[in-house]
Amino acid sequence: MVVKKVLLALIVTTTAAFSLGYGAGSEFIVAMISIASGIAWLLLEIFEKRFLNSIFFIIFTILAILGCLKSMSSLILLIGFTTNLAAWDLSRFLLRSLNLANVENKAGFGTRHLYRLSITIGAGFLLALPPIFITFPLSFVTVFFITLLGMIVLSRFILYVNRQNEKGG
Amino acid sequence: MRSSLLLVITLILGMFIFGVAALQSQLFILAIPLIVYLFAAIVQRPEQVSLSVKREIFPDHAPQGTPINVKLIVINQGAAIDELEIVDLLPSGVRPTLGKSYALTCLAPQGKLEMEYVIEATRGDYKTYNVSTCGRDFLGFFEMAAIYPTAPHLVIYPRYPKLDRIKIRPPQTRGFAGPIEARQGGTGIDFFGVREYQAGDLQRQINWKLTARSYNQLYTNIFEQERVADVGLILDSRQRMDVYSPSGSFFEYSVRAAAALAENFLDDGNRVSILLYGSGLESVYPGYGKIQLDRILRLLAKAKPGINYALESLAYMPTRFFPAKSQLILISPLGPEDISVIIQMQARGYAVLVISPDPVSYESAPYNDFSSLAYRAASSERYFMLQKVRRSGVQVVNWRVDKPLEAEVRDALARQPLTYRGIGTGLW
Repeated sequence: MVVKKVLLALIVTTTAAFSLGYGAGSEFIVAMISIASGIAWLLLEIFEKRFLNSIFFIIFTILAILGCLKSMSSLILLIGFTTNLAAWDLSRFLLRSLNLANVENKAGFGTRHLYRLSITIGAGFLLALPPIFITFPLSFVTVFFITLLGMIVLSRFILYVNRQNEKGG
Repeated sequence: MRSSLLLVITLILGMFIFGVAALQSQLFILAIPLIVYLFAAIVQRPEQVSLSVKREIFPDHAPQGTPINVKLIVINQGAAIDELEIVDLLPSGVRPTLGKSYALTCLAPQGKLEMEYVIEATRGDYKTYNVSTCGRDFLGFFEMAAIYPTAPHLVIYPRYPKLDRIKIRPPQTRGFAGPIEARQGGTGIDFFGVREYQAGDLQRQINWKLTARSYNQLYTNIFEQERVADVGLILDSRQRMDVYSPSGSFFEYSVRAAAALAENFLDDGNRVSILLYGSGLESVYPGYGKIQLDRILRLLAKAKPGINYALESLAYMPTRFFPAKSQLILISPLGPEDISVIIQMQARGYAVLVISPDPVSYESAPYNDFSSLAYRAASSERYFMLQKVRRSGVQVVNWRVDKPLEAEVRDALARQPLTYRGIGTGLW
């Protein structure tokens, strides 16, 4: 199945990105942790045990945040985090498909999801690329207000989603 | 809110807060793919799921254990749905034997999905057969769930054995020819008596031996007429008469017996009615033929033992529901307090036959406990109770449900009670 092969490739890429990034920064313990996590996730995916996929997604996200603090290469971090996000999504997709084994046109369904996911993740990656190379100074106050605005927008969004869910029953 | 959506929102917020706190612009950059991912889910979320769900069941009524084909047709009447999860909610007692009763698919506008599978069901009247649908965006963040009730309901009759003809002798029969001896002289097979010759009698019916012994007088043989009769079935559905064991509910045997008897008597051309007594008073009025059998089986399909404090005793049996002097067949495990009621029914002029499934042996069978003191005491109590009923002239079949009903009925009814021989004929 194409989706599963892509998922395994994404996990390997995520693991490689983080282990190489930390290895290059001589953070061998963290690099080992990322390799161990990657292998564990890979094995669980091979044996179709997907109940821990969110845990691995969080582990790699924490590794990405830690990488930011350790001033790891932004490009490697972005590649690692983007592939991590895509792997988590595919794992969830396979879990949904597995729960309902009777998937109509299984190959077409998976390919369609892959196509749309690649557009979404690709767009996210491309949008995140320019800020890596273009930098301009911002004061703390500006950043604080931008963050505050973002938080307000998100909280409004959460309220909206909750209302929609209540309407949907 | 779905946990995955909550996780993404929490991560975005966390990255923003941590990025500001640690003054790390890289964290804002990392949040961008997450924001785009979330945005894609919002854009693609299903606004409204509008489906047309149609179910075809063939056959829609069948005996228990028959494979039944179910076809589900789902048509999307709204916008395209990225992921549509369809689960046919099988009612309790229904199990799929072939194929799947659920599917995951994507449906374009006016897109159609057909699901076919085979089920088997236990006895029952399945009215609530619903389809659960859940439309999602392609990332699985937003859901719109709905339940669609489907129209055709399924009736599963009890599976029952085919019985040989059961000989009954009701005090009164009906006008049409049938297999039951009517205690009246006329045309028939069995010899009934002799009377003086009347003009129009067939020559071959003349009793020449008796005529030879008499002086100037001819005698004619007459035969017993055979007619159809009114048969009333009473199924005891009182909860306290039911017994549950690892092999299931004891009441099922009573239901099967009622169905088998109904078919047997209707096949012989009799007029049959049924009354379910216990959980309520449900009945099918007297009638003939296959349609009547279908009515009775439909009633038996939904029969369940239940508690009704007003009907705890058989004393409240509406016997006037049944035609006078008809044959009543009571299918009940019986309790000691029921004996007087049965005797009263017999005294009111009904011919009563009791088919009593044996709860004592049924309860002991899973444990093979046929030698314990408790079993022997319970069996003896039941034996004396049934003897008391028999002594009042009521025919009783003590049915051990591990044996075929036909054999038990044949053995029990081969010995007709003395009181039956002369009723209505004046020959004691």
